[in-house]
Amino acid sequence: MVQVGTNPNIELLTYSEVEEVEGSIGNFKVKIRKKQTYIDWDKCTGCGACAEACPAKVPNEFNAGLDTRGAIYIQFPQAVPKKAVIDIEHCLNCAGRKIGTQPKISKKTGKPILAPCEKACPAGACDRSIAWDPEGELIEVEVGTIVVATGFKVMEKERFKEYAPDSPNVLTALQLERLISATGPTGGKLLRPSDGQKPKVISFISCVGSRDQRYHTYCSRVCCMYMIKEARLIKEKYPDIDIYMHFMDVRTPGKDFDEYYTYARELGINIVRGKVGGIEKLPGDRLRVMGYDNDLGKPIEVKADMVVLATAIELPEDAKQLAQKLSLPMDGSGFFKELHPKLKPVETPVEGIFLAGCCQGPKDIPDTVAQAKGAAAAAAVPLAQGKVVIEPTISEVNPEKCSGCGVCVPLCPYNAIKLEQYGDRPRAQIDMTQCKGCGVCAAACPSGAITLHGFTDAQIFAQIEALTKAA
Amino acid sequence: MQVETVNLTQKDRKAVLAQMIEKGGGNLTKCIQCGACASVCPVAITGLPLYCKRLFRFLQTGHLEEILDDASSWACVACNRCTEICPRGVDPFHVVFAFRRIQAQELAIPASATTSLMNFYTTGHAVYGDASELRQKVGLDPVPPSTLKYPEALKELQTLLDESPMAELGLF
Repeated sequence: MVQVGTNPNIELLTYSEVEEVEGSIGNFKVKIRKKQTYIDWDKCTGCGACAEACPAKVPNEFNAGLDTRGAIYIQFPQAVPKKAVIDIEHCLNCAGRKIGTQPKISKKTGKPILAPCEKACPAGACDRSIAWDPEGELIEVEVGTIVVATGFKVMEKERFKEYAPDSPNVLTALQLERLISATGPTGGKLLRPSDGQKPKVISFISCVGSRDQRYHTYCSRVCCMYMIKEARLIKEKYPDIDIYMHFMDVRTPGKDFDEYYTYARELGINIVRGKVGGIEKLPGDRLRVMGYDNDLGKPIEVKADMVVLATAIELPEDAKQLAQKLSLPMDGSGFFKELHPKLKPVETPVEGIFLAGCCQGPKDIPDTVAQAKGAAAAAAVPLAQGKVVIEPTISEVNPEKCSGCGVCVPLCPYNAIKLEQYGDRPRAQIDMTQCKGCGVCAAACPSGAITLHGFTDAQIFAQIEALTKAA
Repeated sequence: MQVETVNLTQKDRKAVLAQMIEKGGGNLTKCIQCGACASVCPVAITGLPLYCKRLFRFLQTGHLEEILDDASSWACVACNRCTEICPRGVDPFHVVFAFRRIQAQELAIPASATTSLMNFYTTGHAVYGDASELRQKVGLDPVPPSTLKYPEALKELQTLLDESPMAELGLF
């Protein structure tokens, strides 16, 4: 990420969102909103003094809600670029310092009364007197191809009522990941949230929301491995902690993965095959894990101090909005749909737009890197060639016949049709690179002005005739 | 504990499944044996051998005659915790009840269930005991305002039962 930030050929737009995408391969016009940071990033050095001075307390997204951050903050220590932003919704406007107002002058000292963040900033990057536009800045870039890589989110534990989500000692795996991280809320100490004590017994539960008809029918693919990783990290550091891992099935395909799992067993981590049906809260902030051991053939019970839920991977809500802006279809599982599951795994139905990473389906880091390199290469090919090959069986409008009614425009699933001025009135025009030859427009056109090449009336009648001709 | 090898190819899985489908237990095929239902099932927790998950495995592998006389299924209290947490939409409670229907058809009904059925037919109460003294003590009519008090209601109930498939069992 640091290399990306310093590469002269890459323009990194963080804290920005895609608003609108127009055009087609080779000529995409992308409107991007750079959200307002309220900080002069040219001056900000990323020292973090403002974040320490800020008295606001907002749940820290990066630590999965386990601690709080200020309203002015740097998202995480390794952020690129390492710059502060003000979360204006949660800003307390200390000392009455609303953005864009002049400070009051102290009667005692005759100096302006500043907000703590302004006072703390040694670089003068935080100046609340500037009337920053809350809408940020709208920029437009012209690009030839696009790679979509939205990433994923994990399901929140609140959805799973059977697993006592109201207990602070029931964590999602991502929360545990932050809890054992050196930059996490406890500085890397494994302490359970309810009382800050070191847990003696930890249960891991797999397939929470995955492989489950009530939520997602797909396997999230990475949970088995990251659970084993987290369990091993804990067991290797604290061998006295008793760890139970409840699996529906242990899925560890991949190079060296099964060996990694087998070693977890050798370390003394208890692997239990059988899904957990419920968790009950016990006195002393403990939890009764009600499970089943398929190999014993008996219901089992674990009294745990902490429970970790491997919740399912899914796409965030705004990824769906992005799909609409790009006219990309989603599959039944709610991920971006690739053009062909085997032969075109990074391509999409929209020519010039490619997919990489979890937006296309749950996958681990090696698979994501491989797919991202594939997508980058696929996106570079048409740019290098300067031309694209299109299918011959696409639709075409006869502008003389077109009445310009516009019926076809919203029907096109690929956003390929536009009304453009032709002679005295606007008439439909089909972008050859975007048309996939589905024929919806040709079927709907009331004037018969659209032809789907290869499927004209004459051609179809000729086929019928040939098929029905007596032998 | 004795263990014997089962020859799976000798089991008629199709015939067992057909019977289960006929009795409304076709969801049996959806079960992947994850064990979630068994971890909260009162039948399993009280220590009876053929709770939902194990019962389904026996049926999936074509065992029927061997388990027909087991009374575990009759201990199902229809709490539906299994249905609530089943990740595959099996609705285990309904599958257990389908198995019960096969058992009833074969008259593999335990004494406790037979008594309840007969009580139900003769009194209108599946669980029946004489509480007249207790009721009088607390100032209630010794006869409760149910089929016991209204013989015409009991008559209606018996007519319904006579018309139901339960009558074919010949218990009443």
